[in-house]
Amino acid sequence: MNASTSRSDITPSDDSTQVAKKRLCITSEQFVWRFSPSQTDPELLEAIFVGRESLLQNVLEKIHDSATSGSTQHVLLWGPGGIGKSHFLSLLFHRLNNDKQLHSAIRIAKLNEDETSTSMVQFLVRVYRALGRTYPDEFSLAWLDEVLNHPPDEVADILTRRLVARFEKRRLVILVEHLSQLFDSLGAEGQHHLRTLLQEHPFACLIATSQQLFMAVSDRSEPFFGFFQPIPLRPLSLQDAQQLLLKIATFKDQKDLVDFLNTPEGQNRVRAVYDLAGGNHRVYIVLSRFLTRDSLDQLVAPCQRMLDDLTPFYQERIHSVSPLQRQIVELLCSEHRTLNPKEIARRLLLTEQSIGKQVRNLVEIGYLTSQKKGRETYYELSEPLMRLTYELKDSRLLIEFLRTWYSVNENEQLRLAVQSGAVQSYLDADGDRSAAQTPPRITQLGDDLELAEAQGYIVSHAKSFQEKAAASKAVTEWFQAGYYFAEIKKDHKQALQFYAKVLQVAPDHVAAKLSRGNCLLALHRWEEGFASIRDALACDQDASNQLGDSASMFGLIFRLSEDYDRLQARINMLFGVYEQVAMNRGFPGDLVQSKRGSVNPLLHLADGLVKSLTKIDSDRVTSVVLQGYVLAVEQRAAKRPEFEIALRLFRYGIRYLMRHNEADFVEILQPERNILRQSLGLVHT
Amino acid sequence: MKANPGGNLDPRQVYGRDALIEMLWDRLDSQSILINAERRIGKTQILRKMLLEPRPPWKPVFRDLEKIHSAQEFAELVYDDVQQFLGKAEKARNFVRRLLEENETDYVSLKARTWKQLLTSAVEDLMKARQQQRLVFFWDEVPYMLESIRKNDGPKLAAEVLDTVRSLRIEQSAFRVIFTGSIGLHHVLNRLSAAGIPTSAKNDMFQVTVTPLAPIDAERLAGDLLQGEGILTDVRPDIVSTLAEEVDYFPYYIHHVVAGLRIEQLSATEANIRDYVTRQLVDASDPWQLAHYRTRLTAYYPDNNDADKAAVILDVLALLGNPSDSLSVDEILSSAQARGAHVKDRNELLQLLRAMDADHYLTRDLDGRYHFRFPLIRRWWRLDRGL
Repeated sequence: MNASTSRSDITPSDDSTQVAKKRLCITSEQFVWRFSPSQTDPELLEAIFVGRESLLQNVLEKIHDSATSGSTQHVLLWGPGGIGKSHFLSLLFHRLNNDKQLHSAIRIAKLNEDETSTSMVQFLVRVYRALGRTYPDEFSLAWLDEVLNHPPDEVADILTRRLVARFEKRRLVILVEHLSQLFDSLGAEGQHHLRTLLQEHPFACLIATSQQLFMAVSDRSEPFFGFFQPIPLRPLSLQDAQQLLLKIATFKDQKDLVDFLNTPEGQNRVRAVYDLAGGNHRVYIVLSRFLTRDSLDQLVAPCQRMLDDLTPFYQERIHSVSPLQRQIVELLCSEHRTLNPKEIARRLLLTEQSIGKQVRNLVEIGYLTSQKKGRETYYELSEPLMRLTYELKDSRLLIEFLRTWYSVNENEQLRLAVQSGAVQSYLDADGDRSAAQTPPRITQLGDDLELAEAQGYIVSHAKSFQEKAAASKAVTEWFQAGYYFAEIKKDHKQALQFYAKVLQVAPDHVAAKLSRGNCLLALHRWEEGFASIRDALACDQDASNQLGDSASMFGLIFRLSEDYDRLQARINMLFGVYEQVAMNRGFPGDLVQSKRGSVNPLLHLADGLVKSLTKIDSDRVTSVVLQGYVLAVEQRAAKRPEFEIALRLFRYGIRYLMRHNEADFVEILQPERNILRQSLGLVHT
Repeated sequence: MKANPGGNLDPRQVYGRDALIEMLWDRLDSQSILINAERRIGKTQILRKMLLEPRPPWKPVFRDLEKIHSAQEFAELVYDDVQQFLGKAEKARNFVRRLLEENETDYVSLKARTWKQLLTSAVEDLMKARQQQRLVFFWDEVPYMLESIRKNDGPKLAAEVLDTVRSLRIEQSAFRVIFTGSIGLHHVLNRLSAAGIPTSAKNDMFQVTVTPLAPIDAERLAGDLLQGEGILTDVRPDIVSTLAEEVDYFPYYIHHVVAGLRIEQLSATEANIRDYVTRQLVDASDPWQLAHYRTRLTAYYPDNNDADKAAVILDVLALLGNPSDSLSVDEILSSAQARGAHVKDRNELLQLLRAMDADHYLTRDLDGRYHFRFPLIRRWWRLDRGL
C-alpha cells in the first residue's frame, strides 16, 4: 500500500481478496485469529496485509541472498504487542514456502510460539521437530524420538552434526517469535552455545521477533550483540488502518460499510479510533468484528466491545509484571493525566528511588512512555487502550469526544463551498455563455470572477458576488453571500441582509438562522443572537446535526465581552441554549445517544470550546483575562461529564496561550495531547 | 549484494582486507598473532575469509570460545580438533607411541588426564604429525573464555591457561594460533595482574589492530551495497563518499545505513544519509548500541572513580571545535580539573589516557596530542551528553 495514496483512492486489492474468499469456508466471526495469526489461513493473511509489503519484500530478498550466496542474514523484527509481528512472520513463512525458486535452496523451521526451550539441546530438538512437521520425508520424527533416548549432551552433538550435514549446501531459515523470552529461557550458557553454533557453522538464518530491543541483543557485552539487523515494525499509518478495515469489510461482503468507509465521514470515524488505538494492528482486527455501517457511525458501541474483547489481553499484560510494577501500571490506568515518579511514590507510599527504577524498566519493556518537562519526567501508558479497558466509563467519554472532534465540519464545508463553489458556478455560467438564454449580467460576472480566480483576488470582488446573488435569486446563493460577508469580509450588517432574504424565502433554513445568530452576537446584539440560535436548533427536529459554529460563538463571547460579569452571563446564556436543545432531543445528562446517529448538542458545544482556542488572540489580552475565560466556563460546565475532557484541554490550551510553552502538555495523556496540539494549530491535521 | 549488518558475509563480500590478510598469512610463518579490534569492525569476517580461502599449506580451524567456561573444556576442544585434523591413521600411530613410550594402556584415560596434559598432548601430536597441511587455530573471543575461567575457577587458573598456551608456542615453534577478542585481552591481563598473577602471555605474539576500511574500499562497499539494494542505479562519488565518511569507514555501519535507507524507502542523497545517521545517534532505542561506550566505562575503569574521570576527559575532547582538534596531556589535565574531575596528578592522567587509547576511545597524533579515535563516537558522545 503506497503511503501517499489519497483518501479517495482507498480501495482494496480485489484479486487477492476474491481468491481468498472463494477458497475459505470460515465464518466471518472466526476468520481472523486476533491473537494467533499463525492460525489464520495464510491466504486470508495475504488478503488483509497492509502497509508493509515493501518491508516483507526486503526480508524475502535477504533470505534469497542468504540462500544463493555464502552469506547469512539474521533479522530481528521488533515492536510492541499487537503491532503485527506474528502476522508478518506467518506471511513470510507462507511466501517462502511457496517460493519455487527457493524450494531447493532452503528449509524453513517455523518454531511453535507456545513452546519454551531452557537449553540448547531443547532448542535443537524444537528446530528439528519444526522441520519434521514441514518436511516429514526429510526430517524423520521417528528418528528424533530414538535420538531422545540418549543423554542430553549426546543428543546435542547428534543433532548438531545432523543439521550441519543436512545443511551443507542449503540454508536453514529459523522463524522464531518472542526471541527475548527464548534467550531468557536459554540463559547465558545456552545463548553462548547457540552463538557458537551459528558462528562456527553458519548454515542458518534467524528471523525473529520481539517486543523491544532487549539487553541480550543490544548490550555490547552480550554474545548476540550486533548479531541481528533490528528492523522496527512501525505502527500502521492512518491510511494503513483505513485500508485494513476496508479490506476486512470487503472480505466480509459488508458493502454498506465499505461505502461508508470511503466517505469523509467514515474516514473521520476511523480517524477517531486511530487517536485511541494508534497504529496497533491487533486493535483493528478486533474492532472489525464489531463493525457495521451503523456501528461505525455511532462508534461508541463497537469501540467498547473492542475494549471488552481486549480486556483479558491487557489484564494478562498487567499481571505479567512484578507486583510493584503492576501497582504503578494500575495507578496510571486510573489517572487522567501523566505522573512523575515523585507523585507515583507519594500515591503508593513508597520511595522515589524504588519507583524510579521500576518506571525506567517499564519504559524499556514497552509498557510506559515518558516525556520530559525541564528536569522532571512524566510517565503514561504507551497504549491508551490499556487505560481505557481499565476505565470503561472514561472510554465512552473519550470516544464520544473524538467522534465529535473528527466529524465533518459543516462550517468548513460551507467555507469551501463559498470559496470554490461560487467560482465553479460562475465558470459553469461562463461555459453557458454561448447559450441564448444566459443573462448577459451572469456572463459579465463570470468573466470578472474568472479573472479574479486567476489572479487570486476572490476577496476583492465582493461586489460581483453580491450582484451575482441578486441576479440568480437562489436561496443557496443568498446564503453563501451572507456567509461570505460574515466570515470573509466581516461585514455582519451586510450579511444579515442576505440571511434575511434567505429566511424570507425559506423561513426554516436552519443554517441561515444559526449564521444570523452569529452575526448578531458579533454586533453585540446578544439577546437576539442567542434567540436566533435557539430558534434554529429548535427547528432541527429531524436531528440533521446542524448545531452551529460553537467555536465561533465562544470566540465572539471571549473577544467581545467587556468585563467578567458580562462574559459569565453570556457563557450562561450559550449553555442555556444548548442545554435546552439537549433536553429536547432526549440527552438527559449522560452520553447516551437518543436517536440513531444524532450528536449530543452539549458534546458539540464542548468540541467548540476546544476549537475556540484558535480564535483567541492572546497577544491582545492579558493573562488575567485569559484566566477569566477558564473560570467563566468552569463555573458553568465543571459538573457536566460532556465537558470533562474539553475543560481539561481548554485549561491547558489557555495555559499555552499565556506562556507559549508546550512543555506543559506532557501532563496530559495521549490522545488528548494530540487533540490539543491540533486545536492550537501546532500539528498538521 | 545485499546489506547485511551483523550477519556472516560471503568471503567475496569482505572488502578492503586483502592486504591485511596477506600480511597475516605472511606473519604466521614466523609467529602467532593477536588481533585487537573494536567490536563490529569486522575481525570475525576477516577470520572467516581466511578460513574459507586459506593460503596453502595452512589449514585453519575456527573456534568461537565464548561457550568455553573451564580449562578442561578448552583442552578437550583443542584435543578433539587436533584429532579430527590428524585423522585415524595418525591417531592410531599416536596411541601406539604412547603405549610404548609412556606405558599408557588405556586410550580412554587420555581424556581423563589433566587439562594441561591434554593440551600438551594435543599440541605434541600435532607437531609430530606427518601432514602436508599445517593446522592453525583461529580462536575467537579468547578474552571471554579467560574471563569465564577466571570467574569460575579463579585468576590463577586463567593465567595458567594463558601461560601454558604460550609455553607451547615457544616449545613447539611450529604451533600457530590467532587470538581475537572484542574486549581487550589487556583487560583480562590487568585483572590477573591486579590479583597478583602477572602473565606475559602475549609477548611472543604479533599484535595487529584492525582499523576501519580505507576510504576507497569503504566507498566501493557503499556503492555496491546501494546498487545491490536497488537504491542507486549509478554510483555517484559524492554519495558514496558521504556515506562512508559519515560512519568513519566502518563496514558494519555502512551495511547498516544502506539497510536502513532501504527499509525506510529513502533515496540515497547526502541529506538523507546524514539525517539517517544522526537519527541513529539520537534514537532512544540506541539501534547502533553506542551507549555501550558510556556504560562500559565503569567495567573498564572500576577503581578510584576512573570511570567518571574518563567521562570528563571525553567531554573535554568532545567539546573541541573539530573532530581532528586535539589536546596535549597538560591541556587535558587542566580542562578536566576545571570540569570537576578529581585527577590527582599528571601521572594518573597519563595512565588513564593510555588505557583509553588501548580501548579505542582515543588516539594520539604524531605530536602526542589526544583526540577521539572515531569522529562518529565523538559525535554520539556530544549528543548523548548534551554537550
